[in-house]
Amino acid sequence: MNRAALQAEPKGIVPVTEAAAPRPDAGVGIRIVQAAKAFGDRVVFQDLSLEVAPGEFVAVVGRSGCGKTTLLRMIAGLETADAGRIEIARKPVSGLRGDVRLLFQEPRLLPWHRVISNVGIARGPDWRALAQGALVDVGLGDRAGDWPAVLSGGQRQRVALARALVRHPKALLMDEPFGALDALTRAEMHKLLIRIRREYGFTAVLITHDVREALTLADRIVVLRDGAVAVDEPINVPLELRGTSPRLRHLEHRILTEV
Amino acid sequence: MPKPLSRRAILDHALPWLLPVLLVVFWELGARSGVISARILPAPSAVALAFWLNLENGALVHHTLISTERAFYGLVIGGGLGFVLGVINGALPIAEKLTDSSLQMLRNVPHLAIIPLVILWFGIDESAKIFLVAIGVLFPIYLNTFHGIRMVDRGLIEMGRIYGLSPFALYVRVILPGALPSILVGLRYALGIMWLTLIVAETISAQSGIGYMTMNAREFLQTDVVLLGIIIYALLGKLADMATRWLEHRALAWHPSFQAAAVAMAA
Repeated sequence: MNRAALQAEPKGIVPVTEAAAPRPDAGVGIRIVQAAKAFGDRVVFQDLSLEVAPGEFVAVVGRSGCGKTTLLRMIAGLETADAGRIEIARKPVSGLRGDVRLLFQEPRLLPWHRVISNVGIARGPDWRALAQGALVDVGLGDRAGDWPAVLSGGQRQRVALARALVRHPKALLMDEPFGALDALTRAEMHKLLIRIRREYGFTAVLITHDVREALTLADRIVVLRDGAVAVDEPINVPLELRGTSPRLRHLEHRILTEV
Repeated sequence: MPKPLSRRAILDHALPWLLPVLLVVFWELGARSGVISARILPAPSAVALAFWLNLENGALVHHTLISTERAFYGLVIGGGLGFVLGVINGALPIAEKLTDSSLQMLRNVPHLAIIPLVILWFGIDESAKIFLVAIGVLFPIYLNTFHGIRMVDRGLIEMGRIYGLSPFALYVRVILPGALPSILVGLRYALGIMWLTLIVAETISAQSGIGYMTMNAREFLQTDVVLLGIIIYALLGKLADMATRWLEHRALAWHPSFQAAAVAMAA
């Protein structure tokens, strides 16, 4: 696929980002071409291809064991594909990148560092000011000096999000980041993520088994089944209208039968 | 404490002391009335007098300092070695393969059993005592450092790698702090073994130190000085334990379970 196609795509399917108008260079395109991966005898996928346009938000849903976490770890450079190619910004992934950040289900904060040191874990010039800025962005500007242990689960996950946001990542990869949170906190986190993504404009890949969560947040939904893409469908409903949209009701029903 | 204590709090603080105080009072009464022979158990006041006399002629300070010095050197050498071995074996699987089973074998030899060998090697020199203490503290510190490093959450280490920490930074900011609670447990064990080893070593072969002072007093049937030596050991052990607790308090301020334990300990 050429560059023009990569950039033309999101304009058609993401009307919601028009209001935010993210910087054109804020996100990177991700391409997975005929990737194969097996752990010993267990084949995770044999021929998987998926493309994410710069700035696009793709949700990947599927049952446990369908290979969605492996897919994410391959994009992040934590696993290597046995065959095929994985590219970020049209360059093959050959390990960890500083502009691609991950959010896990567990916040993975260092309990012996205060919140601000956790957010600025990568250090570098001006890390303290940058970390404080990211904390303000996730609404925790006043908790910089606290130990992670005194925060609630949702707050810890927001600290982890702030840590990922420092130095403006070009892609944010999320592996069930809200899976361990209660329903109310999860809804708050959804709002936060929508706002943050508008401000930062990164490319986002969200792994989830919650179809409704995928339909609330993403521009496009991909269903993985038996290591292959079973459904790949743009959502095409403005974020504000998603609670009431009949199209979404219909799409949710369809996806649930496909998973 | 700055706050005035309530009656309840005073009672809470006084209660643990009640039994020891009663014991000392009955002991004193028993010794004075002649029910307990002075050769078996001299009165607490006699022990206090022995304490005063030995303090005045400088013997007590001299012996205590020498014992403490031996304990300190042994701890630094053995503990340092155990820590370094634990860190290396925790970090490098190949080092673990190479050394761990040998270390486990050595660990199972009671270190006091090698006293005859140590005397043959070092005579009854200072180095003999320091060597014994070092061997004694090496294993608890090694084991707990190694174990602590192995138990550090893999997710945190992966997170550190994702955020581009250098191997050194990963060690200093993620792995060692994660292993610290376990390392400090090792240190507390080691301190107990340190005093125990020193007592045995000094009683068997020494010309100075609390153990020597005690053995010497036994020859002259000075039971009060023997008791004094035992009490000094108890105090030194307690002091070392307090020092570790203080260290834990400082170093593990972030630890939620430790915070709870600290509150319980203070109450």
